[in-house]
Amino acid sequence: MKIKAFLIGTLCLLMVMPLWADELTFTASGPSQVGLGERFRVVYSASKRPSDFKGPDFGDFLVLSGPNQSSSSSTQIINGQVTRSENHSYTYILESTSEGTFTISPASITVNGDRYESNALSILVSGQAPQASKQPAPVPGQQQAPGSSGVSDRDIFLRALVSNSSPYQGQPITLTYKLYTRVVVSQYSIEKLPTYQGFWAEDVTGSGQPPQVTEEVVDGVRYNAAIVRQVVLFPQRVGELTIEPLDMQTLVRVSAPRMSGSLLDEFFGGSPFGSFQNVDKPLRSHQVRVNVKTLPAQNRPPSFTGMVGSFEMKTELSPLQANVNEPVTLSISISGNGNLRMLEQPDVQFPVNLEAFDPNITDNIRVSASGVSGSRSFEYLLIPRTGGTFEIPAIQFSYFDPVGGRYVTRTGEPFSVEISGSAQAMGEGPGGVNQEEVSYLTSDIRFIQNKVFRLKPIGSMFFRSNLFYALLLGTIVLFGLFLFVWRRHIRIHGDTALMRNRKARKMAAKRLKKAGAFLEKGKSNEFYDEIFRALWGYLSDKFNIPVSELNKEEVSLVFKQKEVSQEMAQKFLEALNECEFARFAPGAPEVRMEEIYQRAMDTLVTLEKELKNKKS
Amino acid sequence: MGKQVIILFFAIFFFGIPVRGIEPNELIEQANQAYVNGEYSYSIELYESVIKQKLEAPELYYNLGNAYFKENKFGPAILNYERALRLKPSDENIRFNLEIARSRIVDQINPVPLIFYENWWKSFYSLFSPNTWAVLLILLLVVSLVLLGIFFFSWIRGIKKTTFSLAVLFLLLTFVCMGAARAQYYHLFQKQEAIVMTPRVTAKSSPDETSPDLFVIHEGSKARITNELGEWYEIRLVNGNVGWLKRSAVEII
Repeated sequence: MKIKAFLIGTLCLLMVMPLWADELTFTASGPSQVGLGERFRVVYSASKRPSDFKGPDFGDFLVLSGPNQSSSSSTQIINGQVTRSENHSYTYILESTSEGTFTISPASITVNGDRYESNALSILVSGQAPQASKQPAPVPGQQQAPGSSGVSDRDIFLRALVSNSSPYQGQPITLTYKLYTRVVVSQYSIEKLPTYQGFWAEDVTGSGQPPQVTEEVVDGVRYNAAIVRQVVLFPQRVGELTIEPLDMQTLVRVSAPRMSGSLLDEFFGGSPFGSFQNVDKPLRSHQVRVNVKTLPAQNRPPSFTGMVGSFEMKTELSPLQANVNEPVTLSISISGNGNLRMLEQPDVQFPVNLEAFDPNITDNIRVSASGVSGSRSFEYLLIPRTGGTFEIPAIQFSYFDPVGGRYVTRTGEPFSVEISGSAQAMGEGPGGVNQEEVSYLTSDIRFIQNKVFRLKPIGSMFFRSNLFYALLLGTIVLFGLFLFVWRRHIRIHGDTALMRNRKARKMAAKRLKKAGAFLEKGKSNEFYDEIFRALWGYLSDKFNIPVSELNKEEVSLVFKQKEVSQEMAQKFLEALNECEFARFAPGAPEVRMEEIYQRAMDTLVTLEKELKNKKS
Repeated sequence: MGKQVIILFFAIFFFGIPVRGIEPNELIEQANQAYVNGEYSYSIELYESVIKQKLEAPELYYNLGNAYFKENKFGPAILNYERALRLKPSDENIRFNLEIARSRIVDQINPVPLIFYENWWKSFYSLFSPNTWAVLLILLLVVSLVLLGIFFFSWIRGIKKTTFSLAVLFLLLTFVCMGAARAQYYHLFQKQEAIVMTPRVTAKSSPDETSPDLFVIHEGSKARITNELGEWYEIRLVNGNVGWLKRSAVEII
């Protein structure tokens, strides 16, 4: 019976044990109510090691950190039974951003190929953040630790230390952020890095490496001190510069009172899980002031470009003998401690016929807590374009030594390079092919002129030649001569007519006067003669027609040609007729002669008037 | 007509004197053949020997420029293209090859751009060489004088009117030709221009070896000579830079 009962009991136990062991719990825990802007913690804990954890979408909450994984296991012997418990937790630190009730959807894990989901969380966000907002809300999944959340500033603090608070401008100083703690820091993160205004900053900390912890005593209290971050700063400005504080966020593990109060727990010193709780502790370093001294103006060498530290310079030229278009390399290497990244290329006086390209800069720079060290080298490619011996003067490099407080100048050796050959075919040298040439390779010049062409002696130029001037002048002179001769001809030819034309009136007047005299004397024949002469002569003179050719028909023709009015022509011819008639009419009275005289006068005057009018 | 007289005169002159063995036209033919065969340096020698006889032609300079170009000697190539262009400013082939040669040299100096009417005037007077302009000028003058003569002869109003206005027009054209000839002549000959013949030369601020360096110009670049002193030239680049160079560094076009 006893045996049977034992067997059954053992069997039951055997049956139950695996079942019990297989039982998996996966729960989400978090506060049910938080203030607005409050930071709180949500923990997902699983009783078995999951192979895959998928966190939920926190939606309206800001994830400050997480998931932070932690694992713990404990073995308990209760009444002779050994129970092993495991706990794997994933912790998120969240911050509420808006009021209301929010649901955080379940997270999921995979254990042995099966997926498990946690419970969903419902969180009410209301009102302003409580005073102790930086302290975490109690997490139900872990043991409560009332009143233990307060971590004092004496327990943990952050310090910013500079290696030299009054450096020269450009002299590197090391800024160290040290975390002093008497408590266990389970996690820390840097919230905000200062911008280091007025400095050139080089980060020393090789992130990823755990900080080295040393023990230090501050005000009689023993602390664990860890260098959180180290920066090398090069002051760029003179005067008092301020380094802004650094903000850090830490999770501090503080001990919590036992919940079970089991003697066994006491004995084992408490399991890591359940006996402690993590508390948020924000930290901030103090402002640091640095007084930057200006570099002395005295004895400043001309080759000084602002480098501070201690340096060595090496210069090298190779090869010392080359052919035209073969490259020669000049390398300048400056090594030492100082801000090598700010190092400019030294001023080198290259000979004109050595074509220098922009230097190739190679850096080998290390940043450590003691500053920046290493080397920077400049490699110049020089292409000699012509033959000969070229001198490169000694290269100088100056820096300020802050330790000695003086300027130091390093001088290289002068070089002399011998180039053989002569300048030929630029495109054939190894470095001589320029880009333009490549881009135009497709287009070629046009072919030569292979037809026969006329050669002329050099400098033969028609324009401005004597022949040109002779032709130019000759044409003008010839024309002038021609014009002169022609004008003369016209003058000679035309002047008699003109003269007669001009004198016509005078002549007529003279004859009429004569006729008047004959009239007084009663000599009728002479009188008529003169009248006739006056009339005919006037026409002859005026129109340049010989008297012998004049008759009445001719006169009317000329009048028509010269566009003399019909009445005038009529009048003139009438006067002529009357005169002729009276001349041959016997015994003409004196009264009639008087009348004819008047009429001839009148006719001539009006004709003269009309002709004058026509001319003008 | 005048040109032909001169040519005839010189033709007689040269035929009359036994020219060193081979006739220039034969030399040119040989040089052209050498060019076709790719023996550029030989063709250069032959072309140069013709020029040494104090003979020239735009085609000769053009061919010589081509030969230098093929030898990758862009400085002399540009020099000869420029010389060819002086004798035949309107030739398209010369301009084309000169452009290509210029694109191969190191310096790309950008000239100060001209105002639009300067451009018109420049492209107008570049139409012909000064000689052509001069011939045109004389022809136009003769025509205008004949017209003027007719004007003086004629008693008929209509003829007088047309001949007079035509004469004035042709006289104006004569003056335009005169201006173009002068401008082209000045542009090509009075403005002393030179081509840099050394691969790289530094212009100094004064005619002195020790004076400070101003700028560096490379083979093939064109510069105007504005002054000279001893073995130095003062040059001016199209972009306005002025400096002194050794005479040996450049060759006048």
